[in-house]
Amino acid sequence: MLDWLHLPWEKSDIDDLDGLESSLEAAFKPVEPSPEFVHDLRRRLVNFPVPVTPAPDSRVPLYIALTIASLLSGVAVVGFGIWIILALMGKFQSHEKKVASSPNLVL
Amino acid sequence: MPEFSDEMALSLSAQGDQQAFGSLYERYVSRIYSYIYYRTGNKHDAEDLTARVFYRALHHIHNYQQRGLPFSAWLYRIAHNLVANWHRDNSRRPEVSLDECLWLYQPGEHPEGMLLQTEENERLMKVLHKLPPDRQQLLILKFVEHLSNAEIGQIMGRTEGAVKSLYHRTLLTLRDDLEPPDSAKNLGV
Repeated sequence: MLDWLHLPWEKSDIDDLDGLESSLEAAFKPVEPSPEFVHDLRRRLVNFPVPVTPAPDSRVPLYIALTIASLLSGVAVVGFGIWIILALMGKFQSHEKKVASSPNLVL
Repeated sequence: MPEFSDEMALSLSAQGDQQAFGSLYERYVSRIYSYIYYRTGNKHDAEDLTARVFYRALHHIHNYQQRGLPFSAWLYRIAHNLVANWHRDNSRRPEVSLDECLWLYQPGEHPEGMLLQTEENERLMKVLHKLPPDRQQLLILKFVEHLSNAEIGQIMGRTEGAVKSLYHRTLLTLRDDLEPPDSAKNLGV
């Protein structure tokens, strides 16, 4: 390591961290579980009745059906709206014709 | 039981071969247990959580997708999440109890030296448990499992550089937290 490249206070920081790393190395030792626990858990895991999960069905047909239904619904709503508008316009026009042809119209 | 590679054992396990899963379990149980032990600080919770890790892994093994990450990375992530839940559920507990047997007695060691080492270790552990979970995970994986920054990054979902940076910041935090309040450095010298 090129320690001489570091400034004095930086070198002390590095020494501090090196010391800390050594302390951590000394403190952290792998801890083994008890053999009884390991064997018991293995036995339970191997005998555990895992439910057989069927492969999930493809959701593509569902998405296609939803898309088609949404489009048809949209078309139906728009068509109904247009029909309403046309119906109202037709009534309005027929009302105007009645008014124009009414003999009781007073000018 | 023939010795399978992880990939082969995973493939068999996903098809329902629980004996193959048992071989995977035997390979990683000590590592997972050790990790959880340092995160929780006591044997009983470590055993309980370790069991839950492997039950969860067994239950979801058919969903496991090999994306170039080692199987251990998946197990560590499960363990990390379960420990986080455990801490949340035990949030009333202000400090984590530390088993006395955490510090292994080395026959032949000088008792006074062992006592000093034990006290220092306890202080270190108390400071460790005040760190955020990701920093605790990093230190345990580095110093207990001796994993490289790249391997730790795979487990934590970070780049190697990010792990290195986090490690350095963690050491600085630990150093500051471990310094006694009346150290010479704080006297304005």
